[in-house]
Amino acid sequence: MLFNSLSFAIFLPVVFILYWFVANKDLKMQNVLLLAASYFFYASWDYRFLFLLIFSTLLDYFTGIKISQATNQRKKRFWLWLSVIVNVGFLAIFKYYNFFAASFAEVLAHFGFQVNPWTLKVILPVGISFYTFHGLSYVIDLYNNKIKPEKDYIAYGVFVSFFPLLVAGPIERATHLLPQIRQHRSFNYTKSIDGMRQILWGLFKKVVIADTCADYANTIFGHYTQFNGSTLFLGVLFFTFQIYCDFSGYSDIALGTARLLGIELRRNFAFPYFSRDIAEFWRRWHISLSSWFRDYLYIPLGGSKVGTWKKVRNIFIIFLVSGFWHGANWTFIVWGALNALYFMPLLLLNKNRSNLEIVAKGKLFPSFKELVGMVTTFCLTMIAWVFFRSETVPQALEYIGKIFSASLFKPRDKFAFINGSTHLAIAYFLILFLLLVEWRGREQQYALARFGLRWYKPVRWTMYYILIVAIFLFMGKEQQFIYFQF
Amino acid sequence: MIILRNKLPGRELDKRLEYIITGKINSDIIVLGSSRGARGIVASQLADSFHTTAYNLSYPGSNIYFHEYLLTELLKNGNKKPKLVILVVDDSYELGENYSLQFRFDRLYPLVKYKSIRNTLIEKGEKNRILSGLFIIHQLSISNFDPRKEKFTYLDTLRDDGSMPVSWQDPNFDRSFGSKNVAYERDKEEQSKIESFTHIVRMCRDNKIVVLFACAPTFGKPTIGFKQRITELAGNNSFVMQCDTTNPVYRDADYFTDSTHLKQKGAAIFTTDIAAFINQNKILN
Repeated sequence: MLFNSLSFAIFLPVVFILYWFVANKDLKMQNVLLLAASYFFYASWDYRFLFLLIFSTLLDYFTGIKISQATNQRKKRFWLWLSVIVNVGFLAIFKYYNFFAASFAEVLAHFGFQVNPWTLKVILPVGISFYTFHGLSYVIDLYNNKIKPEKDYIAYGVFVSFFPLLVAGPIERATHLLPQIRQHRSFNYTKSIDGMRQILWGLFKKVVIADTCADYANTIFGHYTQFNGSTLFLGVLFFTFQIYCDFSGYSDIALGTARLLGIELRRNFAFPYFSRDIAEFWRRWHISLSSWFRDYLYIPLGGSKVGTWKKVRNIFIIFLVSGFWHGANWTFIVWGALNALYFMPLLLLNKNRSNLEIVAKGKLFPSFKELVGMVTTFCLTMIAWVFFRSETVPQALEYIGKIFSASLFKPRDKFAFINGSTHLAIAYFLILFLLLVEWRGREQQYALARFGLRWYKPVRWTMYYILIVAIFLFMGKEQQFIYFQF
Repeated sequence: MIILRNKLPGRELDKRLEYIITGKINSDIIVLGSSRGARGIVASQLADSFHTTAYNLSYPGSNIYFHEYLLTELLKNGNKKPKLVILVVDDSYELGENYSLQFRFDRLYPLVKYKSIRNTLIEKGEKNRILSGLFIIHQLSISNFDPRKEKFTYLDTLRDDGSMPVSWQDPNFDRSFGSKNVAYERDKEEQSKIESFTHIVRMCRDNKIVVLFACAPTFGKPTIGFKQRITELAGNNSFVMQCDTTNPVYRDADYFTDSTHLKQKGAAIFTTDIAAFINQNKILN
């Protein structure tokens, strides 16, 4: 069940009505309903993997209790490692086994040994990377005495499987989400309206902008050998906006949906394309994952409180692991490594925390220096996205090589845009519109949070109507969200 | 929205699909294909050769799925059943992946006022059935809001017989003949395209229509094994024709607009060759 599908458009109101009109009196009923709805939501993809989700939830639920009951550190550590090994083991089998088997066979082939790796023909369970990280954060926080164990399976189950965040995040923390689940939720009209507005903006970004950009990005990346540099540049530009609108659109829908049900989720995006350097970009892009790696990997490794070379090592480790988290392919690892390289000058010059404030706060336009910083960061990010989008590293290198050739200055290949110039002009317009709205709303939680709130009501509703009409107009094929594959 | 939707067909210069949907095609010979069929075969010349009626339903940038769709609609909407269908096959990517050949949804959207078009868009996954039934806006495409009236330029024109021959030449056209021998790669074929191809063969057989698969000339040697593959899939009741590339005309750059398309005078010669093949094999007898 996709957020941009008709089935979700039926599912959500049904859950909303049951939640606020039937189960509203009692916390237990609210949580039972949320858990049942979440399991139904997940089973609508593939009911077989529901058992994996339940097993993973039960594992962390019981190991969590065992950690809290352990009488000494050795036992605590045993239960922690049991949970970590089983969770990571599942992830390794379902997501990475084939990659390791194939890579191992390639290495052997390099030395003249031909082996046929035994590969698993299994599909990747949707959301496994996300709910595994939920569970891990819970047991690690318990181990570090940051939280108390959750004894109520229903509440814990909702924490792991809450349907808005189940398949593509944001990656929640027990310290943030569990207290909300333990508390009875009351209907709040203002928050619900705000949630609806965020859902609307998320849907618009996904259905209208991301899917329009996807048409071009897919065609150009799919046949990159046949296009000149300027067309390939457009391909990566479209992908840059596709992935942002796809993933941040998904996050907006998730946050808005949760808010409709009285739950606040962690923010996942904070206008990353307005970042002035790559460190700022990573504080604003997929925040819940970056902060997860920061808290559970970077800081335990010593973080920034170690010598220079160890800091460099730590940065490379988190970026490489982050890349590998995205998928079992060398392209993601190179993407991670490239971002680590981008980060290095800032780290070595101790400037990685120089842009903590919102860009041009309280001003209409950025300064020239800020603009240069934003454009440079955007271009660096675009280059990195080529690796993210390509199927192999040599393909990415060839793609980039063709962009940086004389053909960059030739007119684009018209056959890449078979849908005609109307669509291409619309795509440019949509990107411009996105940038303007997001720039105006960059000091808010999401671009539309306060946009138009002070306008004359009919004007504001006209804007909502235009967004809704655009969604209905562009909605066609139920396009998968990119991050579902991770 | 209803007014907009219902007025859309009036903006179209290319009425061929609307003729099919409304059952107005009345020809004994139908030509299907991509731009190679549109530019490379002159339907009126065929009609004159056999003293019959011929119409070209080739669409530049269209693939086998679109040809299958056109033939299906042609046979079910009360159009005259043709005696002969000429399907111009693209050497060498008729059955393989090619980004420049697509199902031409852009030709369908101006005609969304017709239910059968809406159903096709739903079946092809472009639109949702329930939303399409509930909201007119969901039936449309953003291109429907383009107020400009369609017009043809010297690059593409459409004759009354549906053919689109052109007389210009691409300035980037490399005028050296491609003499490299290239072997056809079956592993690049897509199963769904093979199924569409065989469906066309089956439809023609079931409706007692003769089908001729014509490999249009390119400015280079034909792909080795392509004709054989088409013959294999075409079965016994169909004909496969490949032009004689030793003919000096097909090695003369002046007869081509670019490396894959014939110019108007090249199209006249290729059409003559097809007529000769039809006569030789007594296809219309």
